[in-house]
Amino acid sequence: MAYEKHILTGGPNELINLLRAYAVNCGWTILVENDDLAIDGSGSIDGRRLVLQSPSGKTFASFRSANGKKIFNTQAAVGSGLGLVCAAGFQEFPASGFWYDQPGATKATNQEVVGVGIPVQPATTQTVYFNHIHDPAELILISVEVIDKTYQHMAVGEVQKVGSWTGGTIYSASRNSANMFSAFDTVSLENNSNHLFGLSQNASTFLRADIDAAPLRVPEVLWASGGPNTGGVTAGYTGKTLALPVMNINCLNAAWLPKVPHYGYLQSQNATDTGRNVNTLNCISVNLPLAVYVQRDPDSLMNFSQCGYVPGVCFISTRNLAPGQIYNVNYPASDTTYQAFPQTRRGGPMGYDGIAILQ
Amino acid sequence: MPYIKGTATSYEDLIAQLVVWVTDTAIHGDNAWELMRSEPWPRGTILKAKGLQGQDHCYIGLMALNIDSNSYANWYFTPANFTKYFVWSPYGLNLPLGRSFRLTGNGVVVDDSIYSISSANIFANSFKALVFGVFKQYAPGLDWDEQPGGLNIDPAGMGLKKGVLYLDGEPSRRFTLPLYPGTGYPGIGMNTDDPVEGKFTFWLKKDKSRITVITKNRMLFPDTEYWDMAQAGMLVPYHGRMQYPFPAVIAGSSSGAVSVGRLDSTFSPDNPVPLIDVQIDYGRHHWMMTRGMPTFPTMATDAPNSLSQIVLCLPDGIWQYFANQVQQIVPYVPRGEKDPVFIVDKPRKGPQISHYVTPTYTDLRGTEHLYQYPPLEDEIIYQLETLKLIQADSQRKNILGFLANLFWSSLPAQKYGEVVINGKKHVMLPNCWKERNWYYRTGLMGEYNPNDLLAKEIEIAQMTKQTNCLIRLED
Repeated sequence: MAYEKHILTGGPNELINLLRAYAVNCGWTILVENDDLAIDGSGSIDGRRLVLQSPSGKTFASFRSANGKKIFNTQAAVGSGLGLVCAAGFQEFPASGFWYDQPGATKATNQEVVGVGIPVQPATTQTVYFNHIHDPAELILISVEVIDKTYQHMAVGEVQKVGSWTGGTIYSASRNSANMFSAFDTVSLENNSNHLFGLSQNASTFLRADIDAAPLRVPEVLWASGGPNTGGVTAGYTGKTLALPVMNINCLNAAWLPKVPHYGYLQSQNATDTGRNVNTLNCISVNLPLAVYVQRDPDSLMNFSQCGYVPGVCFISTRNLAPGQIYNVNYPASDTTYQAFPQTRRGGPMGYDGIAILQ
Repeated sequence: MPYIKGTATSYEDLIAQLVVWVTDTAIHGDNAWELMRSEPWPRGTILKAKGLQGQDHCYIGLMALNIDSNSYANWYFTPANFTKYFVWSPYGLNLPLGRSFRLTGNGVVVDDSIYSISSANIFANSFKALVFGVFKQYAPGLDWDEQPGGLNIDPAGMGLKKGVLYLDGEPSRRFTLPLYPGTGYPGIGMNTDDPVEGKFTFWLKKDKSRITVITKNRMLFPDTEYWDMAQAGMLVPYHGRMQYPFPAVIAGSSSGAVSVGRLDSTFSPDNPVPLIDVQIDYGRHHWMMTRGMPTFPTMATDAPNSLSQIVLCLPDGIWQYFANQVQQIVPYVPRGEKDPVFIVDKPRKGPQISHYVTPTYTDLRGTEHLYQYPPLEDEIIYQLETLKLIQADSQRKNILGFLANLFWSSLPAQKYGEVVINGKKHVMLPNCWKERNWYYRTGLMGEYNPNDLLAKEIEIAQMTKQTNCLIRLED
């Protein structure tokens, strides 16, 4: 589906309203949309809550706008942005009263709810792109140009499964819930960002999957996290590790890095490196698929099995592509187009790593 | 393949007139180009031209640069560029993602260490330039120098002036500075106060896949005409289409490079040492051959791929500069003196240079006009030689192709400007200005023997006669 572009002036609340309208057009169901009370117990309304259900009925995505107060219990800082938690079920009025407290929500090993988030400027003009993948699986992507030429991304949907297994919801963002707030300058914004659908020291990609006996553990482990196999809410470790082919480059030599086929050596190794996924002869970047692997029992062996692909999103080098640019693959034969984005900024700390989104 | 002659008041004016002319279908028919955009630096002008086969395309770019003493710092020290080229780059600190730091304007604080920068300026002078580029594709959202298929050459191997990094106030090391957007591309240039007459004359010649620009300006010292030329587009390759997919070439009478020498006491306050590097100046502030016609392309340092007047996209897609010689500053300690002075060396062959241009790579002083006996009464017959680009490194030996419409003439030029040769109009160019020597002796190199002096003067005079450039206007 072709992208939608909007100019955002009303900050996170306007973004969540735009997302609502876009998701409805994509066939997603609105389960909740309302103003929400701050989680600090002050009784004041500090943002909007939106819960979406995917057309398959299996994905429950709870969004919450942040407007100067924290929206997760685990956040140390406050700021402005958009948070997201996915769950295995839905409850309109959770007993705790907190928006994120959903049945089967993503939890760190200490049982605190974790999720993802992106910073959004409160009242500054920003450009936002929405993308929707329908086939082979559902995925909604939000890309916000938070400051000039610098992006933050968020995505939620379902993996294109390989094999048959229970689960399938996948969501990711440029940051996780513990790190989602940022000052709006180049250094702050980019230095703590992650690759969308990538591995990072602070996981910001989560997959709902019943993996071997993990759901039977006490407490249960329903989600796998794209990051280290230890740590708390900052690391985002859920008890099962997710392996993904792209990564923040400082993970490349980490002891916990899953030993699966990955693109670490094809990626930009620093800000000025264009990476290897670029061709000097024809300027083409190859659309490399994003496979998803899960950690099998027993955990200590660090064995992984592929379980699917992120639908409609590929890893590219943006050396020859501008942010937001539409390009044709297999030109002129296929007539299939993709939209390109940098992970944060071309020439930022992630170099020229980028994503391509099927149109 | 038409041409025009006109006058312009600035490079921006020249670009505007060029765009109108090259896109005029009434003049060029099917070979008219399409304007993609025409904007100031750093987005520049980009035109869609045809490729060698006619059905394919290439993109030809022009961009005016207006450089002053603050241009580089104003660009380099923006947070976006300083983090890209220094903080997160192996050129500088190469900090990993997530390592916290704080920018300070001309430096950065990491933990408790204060890093500050000095000498962050690769420009030797203020100048105006018109640089040319050829691109494989067009990306509307990218700046001129970021276009797909444009030059992407590592500045670390060019001998380019480095910045000095200070750690907690003490000089720590030198580090690589990036090229300013648009520099590195061959082109033409003038000084900041030019054109001294308020306008200059130009000739434009185009075909489906290349543009040639000639300008005749004026300078006051010496008081004479100052000529420039540039060509961008497709080489005429000797390879087949599938063997050489994108034979793009850019040639200009300024490589932008100039060798600069100075005494430097950064790391040894009591014992300054000579420091020689390559800096950027497209103006006409010096007479080194790096500012000269592309018939004698010259590097400002002996390196495999430093700046010169000709750069070609090789069959593997890598851009390579071609040069026949190196001319640079050298330190010389006069007898009885302690400190060296910096003098311009004569042009010499560069042992590291393996991409060059024939026939001018060889010493052509023995080349005379064509043999005719008995001699014709009022006519001289002479040869025109195309400029052929040669690759000759340890693994690759290739004659790649030649530049279209651009010749070296065995006739030492008597008259510059438009000349008619074999019934076709050409423009004969001096090496930027007439009576310019191949090089100028300094008198400091122990040259006292009269016979040696005479031999050097003869060599200079003979070499000077060879330094011409002929461009065909009419086909």
